[in-house]
This record gives sequence, C-alpha cells and structure tokens, in this order.
Amino acid sequence: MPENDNLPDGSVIHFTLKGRNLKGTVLGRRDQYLSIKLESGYNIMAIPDKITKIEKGRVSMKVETEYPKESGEGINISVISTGGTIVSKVDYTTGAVFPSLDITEITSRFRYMERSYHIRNVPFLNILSENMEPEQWMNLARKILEESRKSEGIVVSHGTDTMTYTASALSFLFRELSVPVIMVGSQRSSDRPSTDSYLNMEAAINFASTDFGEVGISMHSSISDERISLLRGVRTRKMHSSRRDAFRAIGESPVGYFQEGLVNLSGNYSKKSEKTTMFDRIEKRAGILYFHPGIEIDDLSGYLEKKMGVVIMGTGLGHISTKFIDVLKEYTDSGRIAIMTTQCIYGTTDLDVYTTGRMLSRAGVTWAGNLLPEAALAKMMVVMGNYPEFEWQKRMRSNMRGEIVEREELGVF
Amino acid sequence: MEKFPENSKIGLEVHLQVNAGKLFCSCESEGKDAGASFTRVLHSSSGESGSSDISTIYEESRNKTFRYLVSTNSCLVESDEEPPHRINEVALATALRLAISFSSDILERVVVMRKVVIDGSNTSGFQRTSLVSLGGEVSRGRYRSKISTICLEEDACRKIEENGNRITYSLDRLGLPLIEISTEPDLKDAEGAIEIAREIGERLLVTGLLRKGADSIRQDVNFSMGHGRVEIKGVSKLTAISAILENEVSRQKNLEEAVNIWKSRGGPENVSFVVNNAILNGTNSRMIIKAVENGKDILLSRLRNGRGLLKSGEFRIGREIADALKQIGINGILHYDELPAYGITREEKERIIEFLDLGEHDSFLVLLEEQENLEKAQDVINRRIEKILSGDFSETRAAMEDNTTRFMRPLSGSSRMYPETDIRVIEVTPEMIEEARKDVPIPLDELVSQISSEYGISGQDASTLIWNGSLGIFKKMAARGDPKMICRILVQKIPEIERKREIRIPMEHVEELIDFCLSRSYGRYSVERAIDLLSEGMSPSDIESGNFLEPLSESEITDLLDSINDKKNISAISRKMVEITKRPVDNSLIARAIEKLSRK
Repeated sequence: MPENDNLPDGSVIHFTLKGRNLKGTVLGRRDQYLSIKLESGYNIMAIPDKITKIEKGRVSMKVETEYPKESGEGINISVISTGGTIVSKVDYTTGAVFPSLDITEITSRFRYMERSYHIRNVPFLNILSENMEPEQWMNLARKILEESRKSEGIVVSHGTDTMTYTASALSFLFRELSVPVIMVGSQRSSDRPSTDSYLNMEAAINFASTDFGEVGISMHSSISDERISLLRGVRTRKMHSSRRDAFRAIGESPVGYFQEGLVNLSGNYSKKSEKTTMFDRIEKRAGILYFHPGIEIDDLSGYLEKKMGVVIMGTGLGHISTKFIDVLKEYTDSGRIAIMTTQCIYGTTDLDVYTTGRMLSRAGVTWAGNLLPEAALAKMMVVMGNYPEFEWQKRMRSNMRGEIVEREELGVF
Repeated sequence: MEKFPENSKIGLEVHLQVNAGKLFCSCESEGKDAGASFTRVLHSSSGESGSSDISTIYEESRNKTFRYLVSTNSCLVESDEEPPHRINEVALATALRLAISFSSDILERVVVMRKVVIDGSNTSGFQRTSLVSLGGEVSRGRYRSKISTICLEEDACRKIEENGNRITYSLDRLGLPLIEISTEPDLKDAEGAIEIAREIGERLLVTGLLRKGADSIRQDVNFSMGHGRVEIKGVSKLTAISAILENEVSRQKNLEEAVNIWKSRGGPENVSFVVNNAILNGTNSRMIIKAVENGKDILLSRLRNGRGLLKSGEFRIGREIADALKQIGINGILHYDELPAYGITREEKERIIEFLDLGEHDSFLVLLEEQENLEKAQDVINRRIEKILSGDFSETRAAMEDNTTRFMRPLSGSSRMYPETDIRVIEVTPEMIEEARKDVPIPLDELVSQISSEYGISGQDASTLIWNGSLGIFKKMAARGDPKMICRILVQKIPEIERKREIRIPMEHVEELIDFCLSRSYGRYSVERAIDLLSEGMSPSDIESGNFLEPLSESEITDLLDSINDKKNISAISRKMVEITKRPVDNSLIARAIEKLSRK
C-alpha cells in the first residue's frame, strides 16, 4: 500500500476498513498491518482498504524528560532510581507504557508525605534489573555515599528480579551506614491502578526516616494492600515470580512493618552509625553453581577455571556428588575459595553430619550456617576484593551484616 | 405511559456470559466461596495530557477500599497476582461464530486492551476487552438494528456488599468471558430494544454456550432525546427496559422544564456554604441531633432562584444533587422544598430563610457534613448544577430495582483504554474463521423447528432442551436411539426430580447410564429407574453392577403376582414390585400378566 509508506506515527487518519469509514491515530506498523487507535479507544491492527485523509497528529511517543528534582518539606530523603517497573506511565494517546523517573508521581499521592518529607529525586540508571552488573553495585554504593551527606535517609528504587543481589552487595560494601538504605520495587507496574508501588514507596520513605542502619527492602507483607515489610537485604529472597508478597525474610522475621501510616520496628537491627564508610573494590570473578544429578566433572572444572571463588548450591545440608571432591580440593589448594549453600534455601548447611559433608570440608569447602546463595555471592565478591587471600575463608564464615542467622526459631518457616 | 419523543435514539450493549471457563486462566465458570479474602486500594494513573480520564478520577476521589472474597474458581490471575494466560480458545471461537451469524466483519488481529475501571469491580483496576468484529445487523420481526461492534471481554467481580467506603466483591464471576454486542442508536422505542436484545441473547443461547444464571445476559441501554447520551448500566431484566426508558424520558422532560423555569428566573449563583452550628440550637430533630453528635457541621447555602425545583410536583433536581454527592460519600443533604420534615419545624425553617436572606424564588441547601469536606461538596454541587443547566444530560447512570436510574459517573472517554501489554496480539487465522463457519448459530425459532422435525419431538420440548442447555447431550444420546424417550428424560424427568429434591444430577452420569440402558435394549422404565437411583446418590458404577436396571420379564412378573393379593391397582402393584426387586417394571407387562392369569 504505497500511500502508507510515509505515514509517520501519530498521524490521525480517516480510512475505510471492510467498507466502513473510520478515524484513528497511527501508532506504528508491523509488516503490512497498521496499528491504529480508534476514536472509541480500541486499538486495532489492520490493513486499511483506503486512506482518505491524513491529518497531522501530535503524539508524544517518547519518555518524558521534565520532572521536579525536589519536592515537599521536612526530613530529607534521597530517592535514587535505577529503573524497573516501579515507576512507569501510560501514554494514553498511543497506549504505550514507558518507564518514568518521576518519583513525585508517587510521593504526591500521599499529601502528608509532601508535608513531612523533602524528597530529592536522584535519577541514576534506567535499566531492567536483570541487566544490573557488579560494577553498577559499586557505582550505586558511591552514589548512596554521596547522598548520605545530603539526606537523612536513602531509598533506592530497583527492579525486583535482582533486587536481593543488589541489596546484599550494598550491605557488604558499606562498612558503616549513617543513613537507612531502603530498596523498593514493585511487582505490578504503576501504570496499573492496582499497582503495589505506591504503598511500597510510601513505606520505604517512612522506613528511610528511622534509625535503621542497614540495607533493607520494602515490599508487601501479603497480597493485601495493608502492611509492608521491612526485610533485611542479606536475608531476603524473591520467592515467587509474580505475587506482591514475593519477597520473604528467610530464617528470620521481617525487621519491621509499615501499616496505616506507622512504622513499627522489632529492634533486631544495627542502628545508624556516625558516618558512612565503604569498601571500594569488588572481585567479579565469582559465581554460583547449582548442583544437580547428571553434572559432569568437566562441567565443574570448566566452570571453576575462570573463577576465584564459587558459591555451590548443594543439596540438603550442603552436599554434592563425591566424584567432585578431587576437583574441589585442587581448586581450594590453589588459593581459591568454595562455599557451600543449600538449594533448600531454608535451613542451615552442615558439613559435619554426613560423610560427604566431611569429605567436602576436608577438600577445603567452606560453609557458613544458613547464609543464602545470593548473599554468599555478594559477600564473596566484596571479601575477595578487599581482604588478603588468607583471610577469605575466615571472613566468609564470620557474620558480617546479619547474613547468618545464628539461632533459627521454629516459627519462621 | 410516557410517549417516546420523536428524536429518541436507543442503542444497546448486550453482554452475554460464555460458559467455557474463564477468559484468561484455567478456572472453571462456577465456584463457591473459598473462605479467604484480601483487600486492595486502586489508584488512577495520569494520562499523557496529565489528566486521568474523568470517570476514573471520579472513582478515585471516593477513596475506597475493596475486599475480595476468594472463590474456588479463582486463581492468581483473578487476584491480580499473575499475568493473564493465553485467551480461552472456545470463547474466542464463540465470538467468531456470533460475528459470522450477524454478518459482522471479523478483524484479522485481536488486540487485547485494558479499560481502566477503578470502582473495584476488577482487581487489576482495568477490564480486559478486545474488538473482534465491526458492523453487522440484527433483526427480529419488524425491528432491525445495525451492529457497531462485537467485543470479547472479561466479566467483572460480583458485588456482595457496600459499607461506607468499603466494598466487598466476590471473585467468582471475575474473568468469565463476555461477548459484548453493541448496536447503533437506531432504535426508536423500548419495544424494539427489547426485541433486538432478545434476538442477540438467543443467538448465544442456541450454541449451548450461554452460561445459566440470572445475570448471564445483561444489557446497558444508551438513550438520548436531544440532551446528550445517557448510558444506563446493568439492566438485567429485558422486560424492565420499557419502564426504565419511560422513567428516563420523564426524568429528562421534567429536568428540561425545571431548567427553563430556573433560567427564566435568572438562574442560580454558585452555591457557597457557610458553617452555622448554632442555627438549629434546641431542635428536636433526631437527624440533626445525631449528625451533630457524630461531629458533623451544619453547612448552609442559598440556592438562588431554585425554589420549588428541587422537589415539588414532578421536579426532582434535589435528587440529582444528592446522587452526585453520594458518589463522594456525602449523604446528609436537605433543602427548602422538603422542609418542614425530619423533625425540623416550620419555625426552624424560617430561621434558615432569614439567616440566608432568601428572596422570593430562592431555595436553600443544608448539608450535614464535616467542615473539611465543604469545598469538595460545594464543588460537586456547583458542577452538577452547571451541567444540568447547560442542557447536557449525558452521563452514566445505574438502573435501580424500581426501574428508575441513578447518577453513577460522567461518561467514560476513550482515554481510559490502553493495550494489555501482557498478552500478545492474537492472529485470527483463515482456518479459525473456516472452523467457525462450520457451526454458525441460527435464530432460535429456526433451530426449534429444525430439531423438532429432525427428531420428531414437539416444538415446546425442543425449545426446553435449548433453554436447559441440554440440546448437546440430547443430540448425542438421540443418535443412539429413542429420541422421544431421551427428550422426556431431559425435559421432564430430570428437571422435576432436581426441583423436588433440590439437587443437581451430573449430566455425565446421566449420559453414562442412558448409554448403558440403550446398549442392552432396556427401555424407558430402566432409564427412569436409573435417574431415580442417581438422585438417591448412587454412583453409576454401583447402579450398573447391581443389576438394578434390567426390567422384570413377564414371567418374573407373573411369579411375583402370586404374592400380591390386590390385583386391581396396577401402579400400586408396580411400586410393590420395584420395592421387592429393586428393578424397573413395565406397567403394561403387569396388565398383560394379570389378564393372562384371569383367563386361566
């Protein structure tokens, strides 16, 4: 259809389709099909019989650029955006959903927030969290350090997929924190009326104004819009691919809750320090290896070759096939580090109980209670980057940021 | 009866529930309360112009919380905790069949949209809807209406209870496939609207895929008579269309007349409330005393030139104002025309008149509401009055039980639609259309005469089979023999026993046992016996293995007659024999046996 070839997106066209006169806005095209938004609001994809008239339409199909940098009055809180679905908007002319960096979209929903908080809007990245790299953890930590001098609390909006990795990395990167660092995301994007982002963010800003001196995560406690949990970054996992209450504290209770405008903390956390200090290196050559029946010695040695450290996700109390003992011994003997975690996620590792565990232990494999695999990876990268090799094993076994729950109570599983 | 004005235009949106499971998940059509619930709030999202669609903002200003009762036919999709699954193919195919049947042109691509609805009736805050076909025509008798669109969409939650700002919904109906057929506003009277709606409903009925239930066919009626389009939502009974439209015609006529009087007096000024909590000091009005006890303030405003228009004779502008206020959760409004009443005396009314310095034609409003809501209320009232005076009565209204309508919200604009990004565009292939063409529904009366002549059953029975949803099983069973007997079982025996015992007999069990009987050449008595045993709770396999269905032979009957003294009443004998043997008996065989015995 030659007449369509120069039809820019956003054009308003009068056309006939199956003998019927229609009018709509061109949104794009796929093959010969035009995507058209009809006046009724419905989108169609069709090949018009004939276009009778083209009006120039004005349609913004790009991400907005203008948004307030600061708003509200009261306690200074920096909200650092890294992308993800927490802030997204709909262009109702085109129907396109695009990510937004305008956090005031959220803060202005709650009038009391404008009166209680001075929000500094700090755009940092605009990526999906699966694209996050360890270098960016480092950059993000530096940004937080910078903001900690200007604000009394930091909120980091982040995609949920790798949020616990980032939360763990930040936890280990900061040696001391003078501000709460609260990560927040959403499982339902904010273009939906049913989004969880507003409540998660409202809670995050409230958590960020407490004396919590760690890296926490602010997400729904249940599928109801009632209560938000403050979860310790190093003890949290995304345990469901889609539910609002996907984020769970593993082996402990949440540090606190936000409900009906009020924060209630348990007391089981480190208080803010006088200042914020951080490590400034990360050793990227570390990885997580998920053991499964059928994995071959070559697979393992191939994987280990380029790694300075490996987190193994073993079965049960921390086991893998005994056929790997020699490979692992050789690996740890060469000064590199292997730490055992469990695929069970819940519960501790213990290499003293079964023969296999003892063999692994003798082969130099470290274990550290119920340390979670993602936390173990982040910890390993920070430890390897900042401590001499002979200290690695000792550091990995020590409880640096509450990442190991020493006494697991009955009710938490 | 109110005569329809010459310029009346009536259009329909008929919604038909398809009984084929849910549209975007694997849940079944029917379910019970599962005993769990969760609560949510909804937010509107601002559009490109910076303003949300007016009707969604309206809902948000109501600040509601929604509680959802989980049903056994709901999963994470209905809870808005998981993305929708792929579209239900049966539902889509059914929409295609209807489109072909009404000569509506099917689009080659189906784009699923989100229509923002934040009254809580959808957990997501939007209804998924998609345009399937354009145009077409529906006719019945002397009525004819053009179809504008056929859409396939999700049904909403069922409202259970509304308690202040907390609304409870059940998830059982959410996500059921709905075929929405919209007609052009080309009908002139209620009769035509009823006939056309009936024709549309019957077209799904004949497919056997119309869900059974009181709300399986619902219609919205679009009406205008020169003052803009009024969309009347939720007319569930067809026959109510007449009364509803007649009431709407008189509402608009009276409104028009009241507006003219108001204008001729010089029109209103903006309503502006002042607080005067002392004005009714010493009142005996329970309403006032209670409101003050509950911390409400007494807000007063003059309503310039409005006397006699709010509630007197046929004029009801008072209700228009009250309905609009109700939408923002404000209920306590009184006005000049209705006082003295509610314990407020003539003298107290005079005090208000004096305080507000009313002129001859002026009216007043008394609002019992907290002072902090003054501006919000004032704003709603002024906008409502301005709209009425402009002569533009267009809005969305809800059909009430008493066949009147109530203001619900402004008409929704197109800006509340955007694509459902979780679902890919669906290609309607030529094969799908070809498949749909093989089974295009025909008008009900045509189907009735077809079935009746093909199987030798009465038109009445054929019609009952269709309305019962048992035509499918009838055709299947009838192919194996004895259509009349099978029809009798489906049309009379089963409904009767279900009604009497208040049970539901599973159709698959019926099918299995009819099959069993036919394969052994057991007749009507055996099949009826089988249904009786099923209704007593026996399983088909127990019935089959227990030799309960083999009819008594003539010689068995003759033997049994030995032990029965009274040989007059055949049906009593028959009952007795069934009691003894637990097997079916053909009464004509009893009669024959008795006759033979007597001849001996």
